[in-house]
Amino acid sequence: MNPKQILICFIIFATLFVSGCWDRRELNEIGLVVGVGIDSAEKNNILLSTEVVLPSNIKTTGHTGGGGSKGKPYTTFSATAETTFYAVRKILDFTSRKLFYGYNSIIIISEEASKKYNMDELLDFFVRDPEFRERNWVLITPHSAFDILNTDHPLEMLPSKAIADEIKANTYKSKTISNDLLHVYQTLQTRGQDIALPVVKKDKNNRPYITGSAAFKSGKFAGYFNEIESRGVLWVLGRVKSGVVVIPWQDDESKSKISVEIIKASSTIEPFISNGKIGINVTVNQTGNIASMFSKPDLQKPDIIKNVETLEEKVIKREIEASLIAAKRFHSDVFGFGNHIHYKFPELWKSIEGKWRDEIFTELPVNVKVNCRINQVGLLLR
Amino acid sequence: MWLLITTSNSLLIPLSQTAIAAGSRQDSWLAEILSLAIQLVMLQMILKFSLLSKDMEFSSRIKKICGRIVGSIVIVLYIWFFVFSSAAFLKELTSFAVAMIYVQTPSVVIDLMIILTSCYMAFHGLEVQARTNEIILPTIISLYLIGLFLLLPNVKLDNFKPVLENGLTPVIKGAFISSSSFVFTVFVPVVLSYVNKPEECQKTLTIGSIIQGFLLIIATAIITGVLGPNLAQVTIYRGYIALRYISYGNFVEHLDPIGFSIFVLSKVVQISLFIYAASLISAQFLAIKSYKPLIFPTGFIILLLSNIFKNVSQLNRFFITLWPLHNFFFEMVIPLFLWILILFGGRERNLE
Amino acid sequence: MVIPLLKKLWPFSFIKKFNKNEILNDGLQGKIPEVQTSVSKSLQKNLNYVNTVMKNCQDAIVRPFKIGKKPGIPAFVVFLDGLVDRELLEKSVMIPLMVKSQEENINHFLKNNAFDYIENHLLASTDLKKISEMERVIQSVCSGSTAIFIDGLNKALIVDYEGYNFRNVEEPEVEPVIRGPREGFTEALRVNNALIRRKIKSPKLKAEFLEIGSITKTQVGLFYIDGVVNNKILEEARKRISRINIDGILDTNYIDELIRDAPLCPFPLIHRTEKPDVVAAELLSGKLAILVDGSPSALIVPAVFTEFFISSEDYYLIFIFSSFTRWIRFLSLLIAVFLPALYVAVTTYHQEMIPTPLAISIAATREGVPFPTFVEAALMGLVFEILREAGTRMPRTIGQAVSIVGTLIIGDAAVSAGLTSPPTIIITALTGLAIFTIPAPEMVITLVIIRFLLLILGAVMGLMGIMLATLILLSYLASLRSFGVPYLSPLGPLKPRDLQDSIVRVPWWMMRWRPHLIGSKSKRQPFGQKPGPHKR
Repeated sequence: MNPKQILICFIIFATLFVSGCWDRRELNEIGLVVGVGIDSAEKNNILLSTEVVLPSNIKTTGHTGGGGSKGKPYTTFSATAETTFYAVRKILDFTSRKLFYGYNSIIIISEEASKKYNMDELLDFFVRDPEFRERNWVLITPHSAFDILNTDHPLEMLPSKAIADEIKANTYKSKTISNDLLHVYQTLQTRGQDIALPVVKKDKNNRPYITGSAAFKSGKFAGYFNEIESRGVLWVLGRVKSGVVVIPWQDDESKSKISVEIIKASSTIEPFISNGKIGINVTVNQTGNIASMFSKPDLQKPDIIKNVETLEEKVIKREIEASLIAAKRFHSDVFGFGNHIHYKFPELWKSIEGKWRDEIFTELPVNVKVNCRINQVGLLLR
Repeated sequence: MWLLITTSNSLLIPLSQTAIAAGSRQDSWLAEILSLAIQLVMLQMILKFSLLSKDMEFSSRIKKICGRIVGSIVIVLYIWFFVFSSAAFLKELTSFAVAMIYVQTPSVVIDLMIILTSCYMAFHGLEVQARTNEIILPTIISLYLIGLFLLLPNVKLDNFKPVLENGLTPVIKGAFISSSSFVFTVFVPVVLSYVNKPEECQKTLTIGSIIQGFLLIIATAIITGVLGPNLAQVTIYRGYIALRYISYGNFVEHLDPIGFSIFVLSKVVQISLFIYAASLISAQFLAIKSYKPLIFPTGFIILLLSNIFKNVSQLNRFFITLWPLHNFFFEMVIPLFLWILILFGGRERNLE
Repeated sequence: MVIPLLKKLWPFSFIKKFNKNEILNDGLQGKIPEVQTSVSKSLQKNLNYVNTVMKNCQDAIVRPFKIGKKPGIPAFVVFLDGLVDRELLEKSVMIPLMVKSQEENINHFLKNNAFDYIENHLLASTDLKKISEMERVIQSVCSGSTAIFIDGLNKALIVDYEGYNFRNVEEPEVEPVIRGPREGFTEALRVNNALIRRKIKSPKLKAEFLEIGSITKTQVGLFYIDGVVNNKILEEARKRISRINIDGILDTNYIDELIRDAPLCPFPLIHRTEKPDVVAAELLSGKLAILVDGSPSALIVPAVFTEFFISSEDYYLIFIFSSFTRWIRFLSLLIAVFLPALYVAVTTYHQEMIPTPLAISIAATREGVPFPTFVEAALMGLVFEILREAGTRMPRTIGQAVSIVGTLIIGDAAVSAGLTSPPTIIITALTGLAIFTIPAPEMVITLVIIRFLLLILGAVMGLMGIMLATLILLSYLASLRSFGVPYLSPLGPLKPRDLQDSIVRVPWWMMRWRPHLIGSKSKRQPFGQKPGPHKR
């Protein structure tokens, strides 16, 4: 041991003990935030609400003692401030623990706030802060976000977890256009596509449910799609994973319906130029199984299947057209047509980029072609 | 032989700085392919130059080639390169750690820990470092591949369109910047006289750099595919963000440690090798028998030097503007200069 | 200026006073003193000498007698009680010398050339030495021989009738196996030697014996197979062993600490085993074994890191299963070293890495626990070590009960008293369990220390601390050498050929090479031993 080594040892030990734990936080000394809500408040302020888990009220198996219902397993805090981050800090005034946002799964933004602010501004903090994960779901609510965070779900203990799970399930129901934080922010950065976000509402029993989606124009709220229009958008985007298409078999009889379960769907978006004007060809390919029939056509005949396929194509096409009309009304290119023009005709895109949403998109001719295929008919042939 | 295949690969370019940052956007993967080609050319040149006098110590070789005064300047430049590069790496690693995890920890403490670790590793010399790398390297590569593999389902091909939107210029610029990160080519001539089979280096180094190049191409492509060109360009730690995004059946998620460990392991190894190189050249230059007493002073200088970067954005800008030029000077210009001196200066005979 | 000051302040600087070149003039130091007393022709002189030297050694038995008919030749035997098989001694030494020499015809010969006749015809002993220095005579008496002094002969006759008791050959407790040989070394070097010999029946197996320990005069055996061993390593081992100058050797660990490469290294740099089959296998792979009289464990040099995770049983069970268990052991190594540190680091610095439901339940169980996670983990780890130590020190029947009851009661009571949370108990238990899969107890002790160091670093710096500590640890391990062989080989430096018997265990017909850097002839068996139907 020469003096130099001693010096080194000293430095090492000094760093070890001096560095003591600046960022140390015990799991029971932090509040686990699972949901964040943003409302607009008076005087250009933001009302930020957080849903914090109360771990001791969560029933863990094998944890004896106490027992019975201890009350809600979560609580909500909210604070008003000029910016998102300031509000996040202000919430700490009301909590005994430091809040931790690593487990946050949903960000709910009220319609009002999304009209007032650009999404880019609202979401900046959540993307910038390292604690927030990119897998957070972003939702819009026509109510106040605070209320949504305070709902009760019959199955789940935490409403935020319920909503997040419902969105995950919804990708298979194909009724809303779900987007996580990464994709929302990614889309906000591109000029040729607008975001659409799922809409969460609460019913009379104070239960949250998800229906339809909200369309945005350049990051600002533009209007609502209902569930059919939402699926129309998803058809074009090729993001329909599963779902049911109900086909009227005989027009005169309102009850004779065939339901087809969607197995696989894909789409191609192909821009074209004819007569110097830009247009879009959308082709949707869908494969489905017949799941139930109210009337009984003989499915052994190839014509019948073909007929079902054509009818289904019509239904889907109608859905897509409905969504196109709605989107054009909102001036909101949720389909990403602009991006596709960008990919195919980069020079042309540069010239029309500025007036895309307000002039070109609203007048854009879109040719929709749907190809349906019925694979299975279930166990019954008729 | 076993020594250099490791050193070549251990200097994996971390996930944060790639050609994406240079503005080649969706064509970054093309830029990386181009940069691999540039790297290979550079490597061949450096090897040719350094194999000419493989038995001679680095500093005496330089002095013999350039003469006393110019040689001293070149040697000092080399020392500067290693010290300064380590400082930049150190700052990069520390700012990453402070930004992501150790928000409240003073960065000096993290600096100190990293420098002490690297000094300790450098202290044992080249052979021990090479052996350590032989264990760390497979770990890094497998973590890297696991991460990339898990990201594959999230890749969207649309993010690569349109190909060559702004022509070849950004691609070439990106390739230039990316290939400049290939810093270990500077390291090769310094340690070549300490390698037991210098002739085999040519093969192993080439293989090593091809492996590294391919890993980089795949990583760049996947990160661009996941994040999209816009987001990839605006985020600082793109690889880390991309790895964080992994979610496999709601079970394999929260994979931050993978990104974090790749980053820490590769950077610390890099810094320790550079500290070793810097103190080795300094020892040769100052005619000190052992490099060991110089290691801690070198580490300390690096620690001080790393503070010239004031903030993250400055550091980020530095990595895509000044840094490539700085590296290119050492990777291309100086070897070329020495090469020309050997060829035309008639000093070749002196070397034999 | 600072450094001299620190030098003065450094409290342990006095350690330097014990210099390497220090000379101890104790009389007990050194091997055989320079001044030697030769055996005298006068029996009385010899008897006096013996009596003086053996003063107060009440177990020393001196028996004077006479050889032949009256007047006879005066003589005496000296031996140490308990070390000598008395019955044998009486039968083959005392009876011929005292009784048979009375016979007429023998007496006749005795008169002519007494000493030659006694040596060649009377003493029916297979092993007879003649020593003319008193010191050496006494030394061999002390190590269990019997010395016979005869009047007029200036030499002592030494016969070996060692007859002390030693333990039977039993299965070693620290290295239990399911399949394979059960025999273990005993404390007697002679027996151990025989055990190895019985496995390797070749004159190429060399055994060199040295006497080490100026007082204890312990026999140390160096075993190797000529032609297989690497001569450089052999020379190095000889040199290191001959350099030892100590008063006593009681166990192989004395030798271990005196010949290892890095004196302060916590890792075992020399492999120890109590099983002759392990020694034989290692000798066959080109290593050396050092055995010490009085210790049942053998030292095997050189040793590499992976060797400590290999059990002898790996070679006696099917290779697939052996490879699998090796992986289990390596996994256990990672768990045993890193798990508590990772747990503390993740729960106190990187909460985002825990899946949400798990995080909530950990938070719920930690509600009301007064200590930080680090203190909890360190405390439970300490408790576990105490229990383990108690379990080994106690008589075996009680020991097991103590460890089980202790674990149950302490674990359960600590949780219900709110001192710790159940996850910490689980982590501690898993860590404690994992470490017992490692066959070498020396490695286990080291790993426990490293685990605690990592735990501290994990608590102070989180993952970054663990990562940096791992790097330091790795580079430290890589800097180690055992008798010139890199400690981390075959992993670093990577020797792909040697991975056949470190990461996996390939079947014997594939194990065609001895470990690189260790043996001199690396080829072990010819190619084409793969069993299969006979080809025509």
